[in-house]
Amino acid sequence: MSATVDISGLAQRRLALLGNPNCGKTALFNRLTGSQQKVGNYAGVTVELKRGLMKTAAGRSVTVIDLPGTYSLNAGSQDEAVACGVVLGHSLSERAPDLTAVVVDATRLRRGLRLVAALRRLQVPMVVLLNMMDRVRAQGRSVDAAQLARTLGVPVVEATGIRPEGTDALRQLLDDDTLWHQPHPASQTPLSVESQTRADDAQAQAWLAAAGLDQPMKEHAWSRRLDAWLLQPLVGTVVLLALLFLVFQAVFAWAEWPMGLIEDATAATGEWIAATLPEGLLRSLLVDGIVAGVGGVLVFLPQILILFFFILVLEESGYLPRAALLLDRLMHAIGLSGRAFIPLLSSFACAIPGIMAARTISDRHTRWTTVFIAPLMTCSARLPVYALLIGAFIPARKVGGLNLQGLVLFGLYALGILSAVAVAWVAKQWGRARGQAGPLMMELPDYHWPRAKDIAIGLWQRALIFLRNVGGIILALTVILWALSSFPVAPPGYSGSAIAYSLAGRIGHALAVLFEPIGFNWQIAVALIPGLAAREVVVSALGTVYALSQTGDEVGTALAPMIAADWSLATGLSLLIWFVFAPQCLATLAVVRKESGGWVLPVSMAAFLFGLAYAAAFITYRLAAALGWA
Amino acid sequence: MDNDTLQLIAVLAIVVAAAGYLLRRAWRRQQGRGPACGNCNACQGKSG
Repeated sequence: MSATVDISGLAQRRLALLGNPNCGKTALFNRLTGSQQKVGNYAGVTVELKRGLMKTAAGRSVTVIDLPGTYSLNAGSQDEAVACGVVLGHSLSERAPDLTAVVVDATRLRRGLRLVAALRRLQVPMVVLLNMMDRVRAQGRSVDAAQLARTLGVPVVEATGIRPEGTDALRQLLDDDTLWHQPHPASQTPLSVESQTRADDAQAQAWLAAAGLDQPMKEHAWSRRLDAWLLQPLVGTVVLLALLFLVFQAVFAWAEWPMGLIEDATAATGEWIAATLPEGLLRSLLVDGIVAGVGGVLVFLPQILILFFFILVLEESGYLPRAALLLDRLMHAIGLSGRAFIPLLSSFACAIPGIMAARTISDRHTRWTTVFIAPLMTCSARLPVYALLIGAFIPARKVGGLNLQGLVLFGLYALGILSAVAVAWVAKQWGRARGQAGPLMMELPDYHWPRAKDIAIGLWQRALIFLRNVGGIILALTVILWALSSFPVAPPGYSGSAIAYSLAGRIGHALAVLFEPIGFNWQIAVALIPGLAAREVVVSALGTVYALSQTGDEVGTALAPMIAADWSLATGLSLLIWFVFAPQCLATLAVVRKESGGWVLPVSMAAFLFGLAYAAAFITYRLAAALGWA
Repeated sequence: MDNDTLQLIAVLAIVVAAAGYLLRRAWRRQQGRGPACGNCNACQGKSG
């Protein structure tokens, strides 16, 4: 007697999602697998393949692979090479998928079918997913999927990533066993000749004519009307600057109330612990270490969320590629291309995804210049440091009807951008003989209203990243710094402060010699060391160091007034400028090492940026001292 | 045990846990499994 076991549900069939950039692959991937990968209304959001698990209608498991967007099978950049390599079975790290789902934007059929034609020519097993059908219907048009399937000779289904029922047809289709057992051709090398590309285009056009779909779609009327203004060089630049300006004003103006709440809660927690626990080491660790340090960073969560709210809205609306186009001329003047815009923009959140996104740049010199200047974009980890120092040293008053603190924050972001421009320009002169960046080819998506759910998910993910950092690396480093600042304990009769006798105090005093010319005291020198792990750790470290320097009566005092009383304005400004340039982030340097495959770039980057930070802080401090602010 | 000894033991436990966390994090990053190391394929491979 033999037992039969149904193992079909266990078979890990592999489905790759391939398509043009910005055709909605990642939204479909998220819908199919329940993932929450980042989606954006512009090309180049996905630069690495991502995997997830989905269930078919019959409950079978399928591994879904989300690939970076590509217009053809002739890869022009590293991210396109990843996509083509996987689908054609050339990838060394990823087995070829059993089936490829070509995602086609139904409003741009010809472009998508060009890719289908190339895959058909190479006999790659596939199905076609018609995405964005809601927009086709909004124009009073229709695309008959069955008719198109007959014309193409492959299954075609409608799919929508933004609706729960949008992937039902695909889930049912994937239960058809014959789809998964199609022969794969032995050799799948695409021809890179131009004539082949033209032939694929002619094939796509012929399919459209045969299916009666060769009438061009209507243009998105108000997108064109808006673009007439927003892409006009003068008006567009003014609007871009005004938008950025508004964002930085809002970061300070809107955050006051929630920040006050967190500050009050932190102070109340510290007071409660101080009142509950008897005096001793544990009370000091909790009050002076954890509450003062971690609470000091937590207070900046509202400002980070406000900044990301605006970035997400601009991303979702489709405005960002327009900004890239506006800046393309400037980018070329400094030896970069508009393609560098998205990696540099990503670096405002964190330099790490920005550096990885530079893979979309095919020109080698442009790519490494982009990687080199990415840390100069003001990442979100700098925001707590900026907000602390601005709150402490810049008066909260209006200048010409504008919030002065917001103006200073805007200036710091602008300084980061301008210094990146200057570094890129120097790199251009140095690498002039190595070729020019190619012209920008970027698809401009239609504008659409941001979806509240996407914004909420984006903000939630950003808050989680921040809170995970606060609860992980920041908490751990704060505890270690507290220990270093508390031991060895000063002997009875020691005349100085207890923290000055501790190990951290001694290290700080030794380093103070190095930092004295730029106006930093020993407490700042101590805080900069754990701040190498993550910039915002500097805030918690300063919180701990200053809390340990206090007497019991001052427990719960916020950090900003303490440093405002202890430092000169010149020191505050010098530290602000230090943080514009200093690569206080080991994770960024580690990623540069990985991306470049060696130590030369990360080491030269660290040496250059630390040198630049020191020189800029020195000039700032001396200038401020000359003005009598020291 | 008096209050000072109890507090010292608690503090030592917290400091050791924090140091352990940092060491583990550094080790995982070295192995390509840590957060923000840029080796995203490694993490995806682990999580399926």
